[in-house]
Parts: sequence; C-alpha cells; structure tokens
Amino acid sequence: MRRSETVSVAPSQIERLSDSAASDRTWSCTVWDDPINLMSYVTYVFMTYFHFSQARAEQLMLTVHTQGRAAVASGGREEMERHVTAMHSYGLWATVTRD
Amino acid sequence: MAEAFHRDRRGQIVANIDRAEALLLQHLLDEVAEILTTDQLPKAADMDPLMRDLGLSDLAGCAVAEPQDPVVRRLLPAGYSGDSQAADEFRRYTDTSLRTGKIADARLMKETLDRAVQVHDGRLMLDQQQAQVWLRAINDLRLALGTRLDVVAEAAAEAAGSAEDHQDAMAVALYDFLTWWQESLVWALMPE
Repeated sequence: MRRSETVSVAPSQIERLSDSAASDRTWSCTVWDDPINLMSYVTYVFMTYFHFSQARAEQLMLTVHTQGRAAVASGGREEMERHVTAMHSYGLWATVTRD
Repeated sequence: MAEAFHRDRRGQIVANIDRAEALLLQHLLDEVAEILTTDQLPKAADMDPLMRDLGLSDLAGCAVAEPQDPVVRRLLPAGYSGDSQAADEFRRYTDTSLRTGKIADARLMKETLDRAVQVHDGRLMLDQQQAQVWLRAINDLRLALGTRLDVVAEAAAEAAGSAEDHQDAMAVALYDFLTWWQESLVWALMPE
C-alpha cells in the first residue's frame, strides 16, 4: 500500500521539472579579451566585483588573456545580465552566453 | 610632471599632476562625456515626436540602435553576441544607466582634477571610493583613445602617408601616459 501513497509523476512532467531546474544554471557571464584593458585592471575588477581571491581572479584573467574568453559566473539569465552590465560599467567586454 | 599613484600613510590614494596635464585630461573627459551624451539615437520609429522636437532623449523603455561611433560601441558593447533581438533588448534596458554612470565618473574625475590644481598645487588626494571612480574614468579614456587610434591606424594603412601622423603622436603619448598612470592606480588600490 505504500507504493500507492507515493506520487507518481508522468515522464513528461519529469522532463519539464528538470528543464526548469536546469535552465537556472545554463547561462554564463563570459568576459572577452581585448587589446586595451590592463591585465592588472581586469584582475582587480574580478576581485572587487565578484569578490574572488586574488589568485582566482588572476587565474580567470589569464584564461581570458590566453584563450580569448572566460566564463566568470553562471546562473540565471537575469543575474548574468546584471553581471554583464557591471562588467560594461568597468569597461570590460562581456556577453551573456548559453552554456 | 605627473607622479604615479601610491597609497600614503593615512591610506589615501595620492598622486601629482601639473596644470597642463590636468587641462588636457579635462578636455578629454569633456569629449568622452559629450560623445556619450550626443551619440544617443533611439530607433526613429520608437521616439516620441514631441520628445524629439524638444531635444530630449529619455531612452528608458525605448528601443536603442546599436551605436554607430566605434568609441561609443566600445564603451557600450553588445550584451549578447549572435542574438540581435536579445542584444537589442539588453541595450534598451541598460543603455541609459551605463551612459549616466560613465558621464558621472568623468565628471567626478574632472572635478577632483580641478580641485587638485586650483587648491592643492597639483596634489591629488583620493579616498577609496573616489579612487574606484577614477579607475573607471581613466579606463574609459583609454578605451576611447585606444579605439580612435585603432580606427585611425586602419584608415592610415589604407591611405598611406596621411597627415594624421601628427595627431596620432599626441594621442599615442596620451594613451601611453594613461596606461602607466592607470597601472599605478590599480596597484595602489590592490589589497596588501
């Protein structure tokens, strides 16, 4: 009788649930390399705005520098738009990207 | 001659600048504020005709066109790549506040420069908050200059031997100076 007490969820409902849970984590704030911004400045922005440690901030900055870009945050779309806006206010170039 | 930024014993961020350098920077800051103010073009179809006639450009809620000027485009880049609808939407909601913020940063830098030269014989003394604003304002100046230099360099490469050379040398010197100065400010602000 216990089995009948459990809620039985149709497969399509499971899909929808997992989609909405997953969609909260499929957006990123991606910072792009550019020829003008100083490496020290980019590091400083990452420390100040995201509160990364200096080591982590430097690591991300180097990724931007050597690979052309780095995803510095991920989460919901609106949150990523706020981060991208902040990056623009600091003069970094960033975009909201889909993972 | 300008002196590098450093942190003094009381924790203030200090530097020196002379009158001529300050005037040059103020002129540049005016240019950046000007270009951010005037290069605002809502999509024509969306602009209220009365607002347009009055010369007002309250863009909040208006669709905003992608900037034409490369400097403005660099100061206000697209928030989405490869999705023009999302990019337009993003620009619509962020354009005004970003412009306002950058204009305010430029204004504060200009005012503190003025005070330094008029009252403190070229000595700049910034608290933590002012120093952060300066960092962004100097960065915007470098973005503006750097973008212009790139644009000019490309054009000069196409039409070899242009008379832009003289202007370029000045812009390059200014850019190099600001690069050095900004670097010193970042290190003055870095936690020990």
